[in-house]
Order: sequence, then C-alpha cells, then structure tokens
Amino acid sequence: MENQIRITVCCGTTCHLMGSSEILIYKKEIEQRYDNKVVIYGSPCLGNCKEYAAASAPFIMIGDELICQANVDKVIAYLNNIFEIKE
Amino acid sequence: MFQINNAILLRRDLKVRIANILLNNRDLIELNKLPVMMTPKGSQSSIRCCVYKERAVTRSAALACFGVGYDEDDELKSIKEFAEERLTSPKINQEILTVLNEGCSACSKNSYFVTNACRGCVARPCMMNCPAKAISFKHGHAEIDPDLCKNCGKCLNACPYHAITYVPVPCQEVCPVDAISKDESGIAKIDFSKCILCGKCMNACPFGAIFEKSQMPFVINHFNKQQKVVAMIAPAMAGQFPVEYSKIIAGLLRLGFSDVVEVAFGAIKTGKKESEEWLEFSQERTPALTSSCCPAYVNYIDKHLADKREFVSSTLSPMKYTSQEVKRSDPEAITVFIGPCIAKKSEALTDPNTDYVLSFEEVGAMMAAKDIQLQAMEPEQASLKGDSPGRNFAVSQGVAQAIQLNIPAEEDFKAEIINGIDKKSIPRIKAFLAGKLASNFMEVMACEGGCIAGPNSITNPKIGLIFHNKSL
Repeated sequence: MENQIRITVCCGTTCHLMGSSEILIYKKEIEQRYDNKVVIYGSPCLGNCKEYAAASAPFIMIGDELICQANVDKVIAYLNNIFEIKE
Repeated sequence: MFQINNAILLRRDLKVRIANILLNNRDLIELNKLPVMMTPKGSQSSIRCCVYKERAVTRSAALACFGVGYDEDDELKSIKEFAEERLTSPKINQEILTVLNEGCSACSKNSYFVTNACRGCVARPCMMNCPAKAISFKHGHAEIDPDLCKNCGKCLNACPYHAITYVPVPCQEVCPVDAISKDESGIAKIDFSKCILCGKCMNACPFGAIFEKSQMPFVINHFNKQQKVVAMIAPAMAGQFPVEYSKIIAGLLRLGFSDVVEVAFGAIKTGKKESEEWLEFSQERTPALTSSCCPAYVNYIDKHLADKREFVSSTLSPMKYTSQEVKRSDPEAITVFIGPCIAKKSEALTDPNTDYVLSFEEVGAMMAAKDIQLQAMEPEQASLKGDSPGRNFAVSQGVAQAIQLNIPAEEDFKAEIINGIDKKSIPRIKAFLAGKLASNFMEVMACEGGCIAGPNSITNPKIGLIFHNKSL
C-alpha cells in the first residue's frame, strides 16, 4: 500500500535483550488499530547500539525517525500524534 | 508469568556494561566509574529520589555481579578491589540471592489502607468485624492502626463502599514459601532455610532490589585465560533469540566457548531412566513418583517436605547427565550450564561435574557487549545433540510426555501437571504426596509455562514458545 508508515523494529542482540520482541508481539493489534496504515517489520541489527549505550535500546525506526528505549506505549503515542487521535 | 519491566532493563544494562569491560580486557578501574556513568549528574533518568541513591544501588548491584552479597559489602573497598579479589578466588555459596538494602523501598508491612471513599457510615462493618480491634473512627473516617493490624483482610470484604484497598508487598506476595520477612526498618530479608530459589521475587520487586549473585565474571576470566570452556545449553535456549538454533550455537562459539552441548542430550537419558524408575515405583508405593528435574521443586521438598523425599525421582537431572558426559570425554574441560534458572545454581553446587551456571540474560549481555549479531552467523552444530522430547523438557508437560513415550502403552500412566509453584498449587503438591489424587505421576515445574518462562529468560514466553516449537 502507498503512504503506509513503516515501523522497523531492531531485532539485533542488544535490542532483543532490552525487550524489542515485546513490540513485535503486538504487531497485528497495532497495525489493525490504525486500519493497516502502518506496517511493522522486524529487522536485523540497525547498528544504533554502537553509537549509544545499551540503556538506550531497544531502537525502532518510525518512518525515518529513530526512537530510543522504544516500547508499545511510545509507538502508540507517536502514531496517535501522527493520526491526530486523542485518547 | 514473566513480564518485562524497567527494573529488569536496568539490570540488563548493568550486565552489558560489566561484560563489556571484562570481555574486552579493559582496565578494571572502569568498574568504579559505573555508578556515575549510569547516573551522571543532572541525570533525568534517575528514578529513585536522587542520583546518589541510584548510584549506591548500582554499586551494590555491580558487586552482586561479582558474587558479592550486600552483607559482604565493605564500603571502604572499591568495586575494582572486590572484582580483583573475586576473580582470583571465586566464592560461590547457597545464598544465591541478595537484597540490596538501598534499593529496597521498605514497602509498608501493612497491606490494608482506608481510602477517601470511606463515608464513615453508621453500620461500620469494618470496625465491627476486625478481629484485632485495629480500626477506629476519627473525624468520621475509618483508620487502621498499623501496629495492631494483622493483615487478615476482613475489613476489605466487609466495607459496602469498597473503600478499603489492598496494597501487597510484591516480593512477599509472589514468594510461594513465605521466605521473605522484614527487618526492624522494613527492609526485605530472605530466609535461606526456606527459600527455594525460584527467583520470582527478583523480577517482582518494582525497585529492582533483589539481585542474584552472578558467575559471569568467572566464566569470562576462563575465556581470557584461553582455557577450554564448554557451554551446556538448557533446552529452553531455542526460544531465547529470534534466530535458528544453529545460529545461537554459532554465537556461543564466537563468544569464547570451545564447544557447545545440548542439555537436551542428557534429557533423553533422564526420560529413559525416569520411566524405568516409574515402572518399578508405581507397582510398590503410593503415592507415586514425582519428577526431579526442576531444582526449585527439589529445593522445596528438601526444605519444606523432607519426609516426602523418597517420592522424588532419584534419576539425575538432564544437566547432571550432560555434565557427566562432558567431563568423561575431557576431565579438564570447564563446564558452564546456561539456562533461565536461578535454582540451577544451587543444584550445580551439588554436582561435581558442573563448574558454573550462567543465565540467558548474562549470555545475552555478553553477546551484546561483544557485538555478536546472531542473524549474521554461519550455522554451527552442537557436539552433543538432543531430540524433540528432550528439548520439550523446557515446556510444561514436556517431562511427563517424554516419560510416557518410554513406557508400554498398556500401562496406566496418569500425570498430574504442576505448572508453576505458587501459593495456589502448593496444596495440590501436598495432596498428591499424601496420596489423595488419582494420578500416579507428578511433573512439577516451578515456573508457569516451564523453563522457557524462567526468571532469567530474555524473550516473552509467548514468543519464546513459538521459536521453541520451530526448533523441534
């Protein structure tokens, strides 16, 4: 689909250790929540762990923006902001 | 069930940093800098009252990573001095968990509180029904006297407005055997004559104040000395990383292990022997046999129901059969069990063939510190392999299924499955051991879901199970 927002979840060793798989558990729920206007991918190491401390992991990319210490709440907050959904 | 939280992530971050210093042979003086590095001045990430408290907790936690308990801490000695001391002479004992006193928030020992929803009604059933006479009314509002309250909870059930709330002490609430008490100042204390080392308190404490004493630095020390170190990976390993099993093995070899063997190899033997034992046992004695591969369960029997010891299978655990085999082929090899389990550390102390125990969390931290990307690994094979029933020892019901496979179909094998030792399942364990249940075998796993949901697993058990099933 065009204009889909692409969310890339890093599944490298550091991000996995710091809980990135927790986001992938809710892949379907998040995608459906925004009428499949977003799509979530798992990816091999994005390389951010070399630049930042492990405490900043897990890293995800929403579009071309890097999010540190990512979790489901942060993803939802970010997407709500884009789609102007108030909760 | 095991769930991730911020306190767990802080613990993992610390372990990555320590592994980084040790694996890359950096100056140990950097250990002394860790508390400040993790919480620099003006730090926004400080969750506790101030950066100084946060740093004090980090220091105690870092010491625990070198096997130093809080009670052994000498504040005049630096982390580096402790590390050097322990690296030359590792000290490993049965007191595997330690409470970091600065971290413990000393949760109120009273669990019941009156909220503003109290209307000071005429009926006052809370006051009327309190057996300890702890409730009085002041300014038309119920008040509980903390010195008199016995935490019975009758007031909570009696209040028609649901105005009384229950606030548990998380570590005490999850402890299945009431091994945690509080000292005069409210700090949690673990009674090791009761503790079965299930590890539930460690992840339940919202302040991350309960730490396990790590053996990670000692293993890294052997790597650095170029010694032969053999990784014995628990059957639950397959679910821990989002890659194929063979790539995890490759990652361990890259980390510095000379060889990788599957503990599922020993599980095959455990399954066979335990089924033979069951056939003999079920003819003669009631109640019947129970499994023995979960060390937290064995600790439970030893410490709480010692008179029922004869009903616990005398078959060795998969770890012991595996370590026997490794030491038989090379007595010089240093054996390291890698699993999700804290209680395994106590079992290893009784096994002359297992030298160290590492957790999945520590191995994950070491891989992160050495920047090992598992996706990019070339697949490798374990030198001792398990089969599907052996690997299934990691999942609830797996042990019972493995035994059933080994016994003749005409035998009437009825298994009682204890999926997680907690306050609810303990009466069932007792009922079975008293011969009150119709089943003739009991499989006990202390963690709900099996080892894949162990206290030191790094993948959510739901995802872990998917990866685990793929590896079968």
